[in-house]
Amino acid sequence: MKFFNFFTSLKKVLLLNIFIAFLILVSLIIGIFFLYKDTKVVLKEQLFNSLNSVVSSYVKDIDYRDVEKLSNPEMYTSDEYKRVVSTLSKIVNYYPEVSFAYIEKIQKNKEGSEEVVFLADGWSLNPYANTDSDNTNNIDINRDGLISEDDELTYITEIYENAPIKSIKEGYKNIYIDNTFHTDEWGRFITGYAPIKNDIGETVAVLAVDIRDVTFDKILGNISQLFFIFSLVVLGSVLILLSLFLVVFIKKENLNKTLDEEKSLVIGLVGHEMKTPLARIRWLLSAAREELANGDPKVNKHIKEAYDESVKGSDFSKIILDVSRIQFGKLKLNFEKIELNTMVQDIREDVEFMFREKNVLFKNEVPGIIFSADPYYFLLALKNIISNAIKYSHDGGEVVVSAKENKDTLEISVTDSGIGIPKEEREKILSGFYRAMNTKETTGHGLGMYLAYQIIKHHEGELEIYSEEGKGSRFTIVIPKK
Amino acid sequence: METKNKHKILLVEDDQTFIDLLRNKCLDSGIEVFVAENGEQGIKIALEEKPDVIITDLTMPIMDGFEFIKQLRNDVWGKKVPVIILSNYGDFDRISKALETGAFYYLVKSDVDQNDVLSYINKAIVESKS
Repeated sequence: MKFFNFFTSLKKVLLLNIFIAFLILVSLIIGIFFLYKDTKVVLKEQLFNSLNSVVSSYVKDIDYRDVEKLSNPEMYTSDEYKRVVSTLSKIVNYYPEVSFAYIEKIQKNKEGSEEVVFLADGWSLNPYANTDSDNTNNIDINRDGLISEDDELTYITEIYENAPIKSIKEGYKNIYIDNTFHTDEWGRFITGYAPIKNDIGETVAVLAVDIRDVTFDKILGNISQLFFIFSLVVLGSVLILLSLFLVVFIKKENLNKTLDEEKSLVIGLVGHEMKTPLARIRWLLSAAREELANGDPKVNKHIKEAYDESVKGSDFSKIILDVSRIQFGKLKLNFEKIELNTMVQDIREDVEFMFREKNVLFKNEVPGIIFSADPYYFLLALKNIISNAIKYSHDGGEVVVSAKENKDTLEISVTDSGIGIPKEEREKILSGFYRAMNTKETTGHGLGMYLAYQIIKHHEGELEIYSEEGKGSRFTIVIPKK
Repeated sequence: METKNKHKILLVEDDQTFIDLLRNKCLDSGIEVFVAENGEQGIKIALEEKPDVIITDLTMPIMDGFEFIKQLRNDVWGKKVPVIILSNYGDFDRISKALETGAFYYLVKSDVDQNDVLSYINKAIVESKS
């Protein structure tokens, strides 16, 4: 039933977890998507703004009189041309994202229709640099590492085929950013325009600055990459957090389960341990009642046995109380001077019935030693060790209590000639409360020894167990002398 | 007449107090008692002596009561012999598990005494004969 509950609650939490994870993921994805879109828009706008500021600031450096002079291809050696190109070259050199900076103008051709011609280009003072015989002055305009037709330089009054004439016309009026891509023989671009005006405000030509599409995409691409990494990090952290939560939950649930099981195990065992002497007493007294009526002499034996059982039961309940005191850390020791021999003698009287029952010989070989310990608890510890020794003695065996004073310690040994303790049992004695309780042995075995061990530990001592199966055991308490 | 009609029971139990008290009670009312201290001995004695009723504890060394009943039920005779469980445990799990083995009664030691057990033994004898 508990098992079932555990799994249903686990399943519920798992489903809830998945649902929460799903919600968080979806909202994160939506959030990141919008953030990405907004960032892209902001970034685009920023690019347009910078294009705007580039054209509007550099157009001031261009003298319209120089531009007006540029009327035929041969003018490229003139000072006017040099001045204009040097301004334009500043743009292409200072702004790596700018591909071209040039001046163009709209004019009427012989047929009377409009055409666009180039007047100057920022890439070179020499429009023929890439086509002359001198290879040292070549300019790789598209930065692809090769000098090819794509790297064509324009000469003065060269006709601009496929010119975006509509945008250029806008540029004649005002500073204008065409935010749609325009394709010509040099590539695909976004262009910013600024009018070059004369003294009376007439536009003589237009300054144009190009940003290549790949540059644009690269900048936005970098952002996408950043966003992708950012999203992964965020999603990963959320998943890790959720799984951590799940792990903690399962651990806690398991712990609760174990504690519950241990608790009910202890309650069950305590109940059972108390029931055994009660059942014996009931049966013994039932027999005694009839024997009394019949004048049966067995009545004395049975009443004595019932009495002994009641002692066992009350001893057990005392042990349980003491163990629980230790469990909750409430054991407080009151140290007093104790005469060991007297204490052993007292214990002997306490457990007399056990010796008689088992026909075990008790030898008190303790010399006169006075030491410091809690009289109640230390007696309890030693008594439990002695009872244990009797319990595991053969009929007619012997239990010897001896003691030895060292420089700093006192050793008290209880030796029996009993059945010995298997190694795993030995470990159980020194292990935890629950395991000690969980032995199938008779009343108080594991618990009594566990209690003894805990009391000795509270006296800053140790309990050493030597045992040989079939030959007997020796329990030695080693406590510091105070 | 006495030997022919004398009822026999087997007590499988490891606690000497209960053995002594129940045996005395049964002997007083003319029932012969065999004692086994664990399930393994119990099987041996049961199949040899074929008692009228078997009383068994559950927690015992070597072979516990459940295993004892299980093995007993493998035998043709053992399938039908009435079994009374006499245990100190009164928990639901053990009782239902015990009753599944076809136990006649489940008695908790601290809830009954030897007189009660004797009357259950007599009931079991009567009911198994009818």
